[in-house]
Amino acid sequence: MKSFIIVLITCMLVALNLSATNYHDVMKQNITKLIKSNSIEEINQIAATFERIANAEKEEWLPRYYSAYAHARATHFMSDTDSIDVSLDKAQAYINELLKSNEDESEVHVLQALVYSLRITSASRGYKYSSLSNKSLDRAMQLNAENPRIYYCRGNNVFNTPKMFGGGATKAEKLFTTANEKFESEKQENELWPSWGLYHNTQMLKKCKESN
Amino acid sequence: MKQIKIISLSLIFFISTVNLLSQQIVSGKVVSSDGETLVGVNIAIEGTYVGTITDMDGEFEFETEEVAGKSLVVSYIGFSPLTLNLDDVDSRNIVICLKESMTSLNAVTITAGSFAADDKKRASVLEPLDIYTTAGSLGDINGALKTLPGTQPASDDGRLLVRGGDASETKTFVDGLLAAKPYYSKVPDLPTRGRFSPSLFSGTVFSTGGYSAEYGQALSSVLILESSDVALEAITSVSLMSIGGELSNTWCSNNRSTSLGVSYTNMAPYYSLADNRLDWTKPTEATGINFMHRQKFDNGAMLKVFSTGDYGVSAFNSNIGDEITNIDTEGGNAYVNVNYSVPTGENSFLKTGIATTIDDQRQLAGMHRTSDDELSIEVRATMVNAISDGIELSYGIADAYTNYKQAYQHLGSSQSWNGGVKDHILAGFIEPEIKLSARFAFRPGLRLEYSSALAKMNISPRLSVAYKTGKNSQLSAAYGQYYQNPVNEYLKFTTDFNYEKSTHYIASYQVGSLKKRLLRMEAYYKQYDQLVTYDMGQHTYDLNFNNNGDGYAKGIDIFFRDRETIKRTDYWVSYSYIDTKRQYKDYPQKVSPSFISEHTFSAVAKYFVGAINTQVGATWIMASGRPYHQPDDSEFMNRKAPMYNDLSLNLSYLTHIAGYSTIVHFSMSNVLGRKHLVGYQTIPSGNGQPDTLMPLLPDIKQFMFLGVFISIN
Repeated sequence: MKSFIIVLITCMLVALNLSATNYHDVMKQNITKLIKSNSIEEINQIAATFERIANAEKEEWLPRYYSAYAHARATHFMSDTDSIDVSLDKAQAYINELLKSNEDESEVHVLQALVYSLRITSASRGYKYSSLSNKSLDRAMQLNAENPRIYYCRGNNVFNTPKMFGGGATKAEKLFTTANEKFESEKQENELWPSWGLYHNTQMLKKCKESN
Repeated sequence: MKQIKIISLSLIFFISTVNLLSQQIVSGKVVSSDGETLVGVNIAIEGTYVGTITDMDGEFEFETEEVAGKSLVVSYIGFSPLTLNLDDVDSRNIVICLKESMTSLNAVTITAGSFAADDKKRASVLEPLDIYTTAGSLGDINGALKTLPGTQPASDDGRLLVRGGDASETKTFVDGLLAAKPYYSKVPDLPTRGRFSPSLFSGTVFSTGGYSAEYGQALSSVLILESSDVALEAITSVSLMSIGGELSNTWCSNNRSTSLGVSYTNMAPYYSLADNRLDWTKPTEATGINFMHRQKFDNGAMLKVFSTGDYGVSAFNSNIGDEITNIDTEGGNAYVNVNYSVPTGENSFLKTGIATTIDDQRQLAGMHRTSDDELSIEVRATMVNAISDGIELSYGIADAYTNYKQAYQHLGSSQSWNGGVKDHILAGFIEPEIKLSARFAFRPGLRLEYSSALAKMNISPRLSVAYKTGKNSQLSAAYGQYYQNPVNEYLKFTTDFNYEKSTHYIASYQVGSLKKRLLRMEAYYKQYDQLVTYDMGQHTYDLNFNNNGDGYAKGIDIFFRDRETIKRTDYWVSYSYIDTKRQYKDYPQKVSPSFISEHTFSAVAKYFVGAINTQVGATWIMASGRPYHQPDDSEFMNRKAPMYNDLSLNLSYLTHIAGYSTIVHFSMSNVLGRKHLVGYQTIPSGNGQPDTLMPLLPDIKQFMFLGVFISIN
């Protein structure tokens, strides 16, 4: 009888594994894939998967968040400004939904700030989008000052702003340092919670130290 | 025990097999309604995570457990999503056709005749910043717009002269409301400039014809300025210029911003160095103020207050023949524009507003003293209602009130004259914009006006159509009838007039995108009717006024902008050809008016030198000679002035002063030092003596400007 139960449980586990419809597992699997991926095609596939999850799990905000984040991340592998704008338009569509459903979530505003910063593909867009980005980071800060990604994004904004407009590596270094401290003490609410930024932050910190 | 093991193993096998057996393949292809392959379309089994995206060939394939009773959801940005039942199709070979969403950013937009400088609009040809950075514009909106095709350079005027029309045929609107005096008062001999600083606006639409029924009282063109949104940052800015200074401050809180600016202009220091043609006894000295307030409300409503005020004096001696005349002017202007727009439903909103202009000017020219006082108030309410995905209906009413008074006095005699006009122009319009698909849109409109001064009504039909021929190309056409009251200069004598009228026919083709390369070509034909004519009588006040004038303008405008070919360089070139003749004013016959250049070419280039943080800009304008009339010639307006050729340069150096972002800006016009003779003006002597010819030359041959702009935030 005991064995029969074991068999039954085994069977159930196998069945579960095969269908792979578990929200938590699919999310985790795709988040891991996204962080590792460096091909636009694969990232687009992942973004689409998050989109499908979002449509099936309407009450969850993380699928939409990750779909937007994937589209933002995809722009790192693009050079054509039109393609970048199209990808960011897709990200923005989800952020607009998130700003309605989860306005009080710090991470949503950080993602908005990231998307605004990525819009800066030419100097003429610099002023407008860096102002918007910083404004979003201000809101993220109000909601959770411990969020390391705020400091990381602000660091990037400052780093990419010309020195004469109050930017530069020296000022950015302080922000990346704070971000690193916050990353170390960061406690994820759950396994699926946003955790990106640490790797690039460390790289940027190194870059700042070298140039100063 | 062994038996159980076997059972369990077979159970596992059984379950796995069932699982495998139930795996079914779903595959197919997605195309747009034009047959274009769509890449990256998201395909999903409704309510599950199962699905995929289309590949480079628009094809997809995935496995799923069960197709019976399931639905497939197909979604792609810019396209209307589609759901289809898998029972109704061959799930291994599904051909899906997606329709482009009409609300998508890529959908067709009506562009015929208009140039937009707005980063929100897809049809833009300029960005807001371009207005600032165009060499030769000297921070004047109109200066930058004069590098676009369809405008006349007319450097001696400074106002916008569009497609054969004179300055009175262009009207300016701020946030949809009339700005009755968009230029500083025009003094004879000197060009004027725009009253509003480009820094106050985030968007500009400059229509050279065929514009919407929302606007009237302009035979040729409308310039629609949209004032900036709620400011994001509190900022103090200080500007020190060779001709004066400006100080402004912006206060900011959530969803609200207020700014106040003051300015002072004094040309005296610069004129003491420059070589003026005119003998200035009082170089222009002026003060200005502007106040802005923006507020967003929780219900989505937006309040915008836009106001400016200025006061200035100037005086110079003008040599007409042997006679020296002192021209002394003094003027003040206040403009207050209050705009409130509020959502009235899910898909509709109401825009209301009131704009008031108070303008008082005094001029003493020799013994002639004139004073002009004008009050203009426009009240407007417009509803915009998106009835369905493809139809947006706009309709509204407006009343534009003018009270204009002029007093004239001859100081040497007892001669004096008083005149003026009061007028209410009531207007209503209705205009649906209908998108039959994401490729084809049309906008029929109807405008009705009644002027109390003329006691006449006019009905003007308008129609614009646009058809997208490709991803980045479109064909547009526009037709419209336009009416305008005769100008106050005539109405002050009599209101026994009819409307002046023009009819526009425009066809245009645009290809490319502003981010890369853009080419636009437009051809137009414009018919003028009922233009005001008069005979130069014994006295200026018994002119024999009529509406007997007419004319035409036809031409081709070409605009090309390229930001991709040369690294860090942005340039645009414009070419306009115009053939226009008209009989109006006291013209004895139909001729090209004196402000018309048949061929106009302009090129603007901007290059950023990263190493020294400097943007270098150049604007080159060439225009064929303008006609002028010399008295005693047997034929009217039979002579041509020499070609106009101007090269202006500017340098903007980005730096910081005491830790604050600073821009040092230098500009110089007519770098080549050419003599800019743009024609001759006939000065009637009036008392039997022969008329005098006055060469139209700029006051300063080469104008130089230096400014330091500091932002403190």
